[in-house]
Amino acid sequence: MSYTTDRRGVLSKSHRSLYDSPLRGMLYLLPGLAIYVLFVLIPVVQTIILSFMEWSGMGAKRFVGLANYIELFGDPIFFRSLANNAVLVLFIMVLPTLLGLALATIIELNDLAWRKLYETAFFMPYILSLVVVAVIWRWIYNPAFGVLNELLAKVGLASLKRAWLGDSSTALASVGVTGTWVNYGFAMVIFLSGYQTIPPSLYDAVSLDGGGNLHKLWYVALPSLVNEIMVVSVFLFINSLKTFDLVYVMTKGGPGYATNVLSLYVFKNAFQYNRNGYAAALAVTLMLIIFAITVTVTRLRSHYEQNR
Amino acid sequence: MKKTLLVVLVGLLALGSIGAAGVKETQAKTSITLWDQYYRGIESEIMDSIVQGFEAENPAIKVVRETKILDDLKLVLKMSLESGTGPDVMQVNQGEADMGAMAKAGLLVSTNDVAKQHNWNANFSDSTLKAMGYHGDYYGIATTAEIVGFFYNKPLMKQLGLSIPKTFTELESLLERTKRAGYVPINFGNLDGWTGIHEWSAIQHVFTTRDQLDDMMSGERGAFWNSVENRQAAETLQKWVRSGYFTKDFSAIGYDDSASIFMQGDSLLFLTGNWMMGELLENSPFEVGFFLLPADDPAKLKAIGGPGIPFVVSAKSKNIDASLQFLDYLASQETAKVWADNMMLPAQSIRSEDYRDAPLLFREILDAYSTADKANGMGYFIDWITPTFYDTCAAAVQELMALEITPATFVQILQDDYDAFTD
Repeated sequence: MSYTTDRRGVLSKSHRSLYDSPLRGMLYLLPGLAIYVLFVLIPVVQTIILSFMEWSGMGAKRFVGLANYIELFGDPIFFRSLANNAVLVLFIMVLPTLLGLALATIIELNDLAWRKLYETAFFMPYILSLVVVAVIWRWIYNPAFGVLNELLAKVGLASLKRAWLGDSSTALASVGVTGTWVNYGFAMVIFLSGYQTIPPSLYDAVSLDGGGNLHKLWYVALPSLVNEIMVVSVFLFINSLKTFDLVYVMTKGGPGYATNVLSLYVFKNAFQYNRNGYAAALAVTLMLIIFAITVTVTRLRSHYEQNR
Repeated sequence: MKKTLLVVLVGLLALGSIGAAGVKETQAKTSITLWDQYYRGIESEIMDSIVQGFEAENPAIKVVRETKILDDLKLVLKMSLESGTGPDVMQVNQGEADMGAMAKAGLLVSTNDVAKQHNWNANFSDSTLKAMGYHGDYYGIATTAEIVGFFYNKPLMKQLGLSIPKTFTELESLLERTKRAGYVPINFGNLDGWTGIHEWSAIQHVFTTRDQLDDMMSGERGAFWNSVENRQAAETLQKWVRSGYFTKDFSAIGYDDSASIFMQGDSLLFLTGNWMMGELLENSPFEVGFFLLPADDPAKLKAIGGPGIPFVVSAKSKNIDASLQFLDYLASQETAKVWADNMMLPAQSIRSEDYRDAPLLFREILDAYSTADKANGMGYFIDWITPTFYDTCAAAVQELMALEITPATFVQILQDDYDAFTD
């Protein structure tokens, strides 16, 4: 192999190979791309195609056009599940975001002693498996020997004792609170890392002007944390629409359909009712809802960024 | 040197011939793959010994056994069967969603002829054989059976001066007297949903006639589910809820927790299947007995239950004959004995007198099973009649027992689910 120098005097091989081809960068993407295509893109496309079919999981598929989607819009369980998901957005996205922000702010602005301990303790629920979390909270809510009812009785609030997961008026909120407990630590950690990027001089400026912690939060922290708030909101929003494990372990969607959620309904249709086409239509609808709302939120954010 | 080489050569040749003989022997053996869900300790050991018994009787057949938990089995089976990579023999749940779907797709071997040839009727009643098949055809052999009835707290029953009720009216008076004495008449937890189906269906079984129940489970079109008797069963269940016969806050208590609560001793009855026997024998601090939910009209005595999950043969198996031979072995009295020796209820009818050394509770369950079987009173687990029925019925019973819907609405919900599938 002979070596030559180019016009800039850099040594290069005279024979062009894949190594110095401009396609080289693309090659690095190949393994990731292959996995993405194989395990995400192809299944998604297949699911979309399947949503126009009727298929029991065995035998031939039958093309039914939009029938699955038409049925879906007349299915009361679908709408009930969608409404339940909407309630869970409050518990799994809104509350953890607010709580996480509040905790991060308290820890950051007050320069607490034992700071690491608080951070670890609050983040702990997030690293637990959701199935473990669900089992723990099933015990907490247990009306016969659960901690919650015991505690209420001990502090003189025995009248508030409930069959938390068995009562259709409290079951969904009870599952939701568990979701809040799991996720606020995650929100807090993201906000804490966001706080690290804020220069202390900005706080000093507020202090010089005679402002307190609330002023620091409102005029410095919140505007600086917009990106983190967006990331946390979108991530937890998707989580709340995907909720499955908590509901499956805690209530199986009951009592009645009080805690039935879309992903559980997809699972039941596909693996219990043998209605794979209908399950696919439900999954595609769920995907479209997540997609539409995520795009809207991202647009709003760039709109906000431009107007700043 | 030459000598050494010769010895090595001879040695190698000898080894080679032994190896070849070994290969020949395994090639001569027919191998069948078995997938079952008896993964729990003692059950798995029993299955192993059954497989060994079969291989000893049929030296030309080797059974390769793989255990899976039921959910895994359900998920993998359909796809692997269709692709031809599945097992030769496997356990498949009765009902539309599983055995029904597979039988319709032609994936299972019918055992109608083998049953006749080998006189399976000697060990099973026709209704039991049908209950192990689909739409009147035989497809499988279950080795164990299940029956749902009341486990009861014997010392408490004695303390309250009560006795096992012979009629439904007597049962209701027993519940009332237990309640008045300050105890929980029926220990119950319905957080998991399916337990409520049993609660309603047990009453339904003794309110309906044999024909009515068979019609409901026939898969034929008809207004079988919104019948007066089914509605009355729902009314009775709501009446029991209003009278406070069930554990407080039952809607939020899971099945396993409810079993622990029963063992605390504050409740008299616990409606569930014989599968709970082992745990009660092992952990209950007091003696537990078993009886069937009684009927006012003896002709209506029926119990939820029937054969367990049947073993069936894949139509894509390359060794169908050997697989059917294995099923025939499962249908034998030898297999029944292995289960009964380990205090499991076999699907074949056996006599409790033959098991005098077994705990009384096991003998009471054997007696209950044979009483129901003799009275043609083995009923059904109703949840498999349509693929959606389990969820529909579980949710509807939860609403019924929360007094959120009327009995009339309840039976209509069941009828609608049935209609949607049979239309």
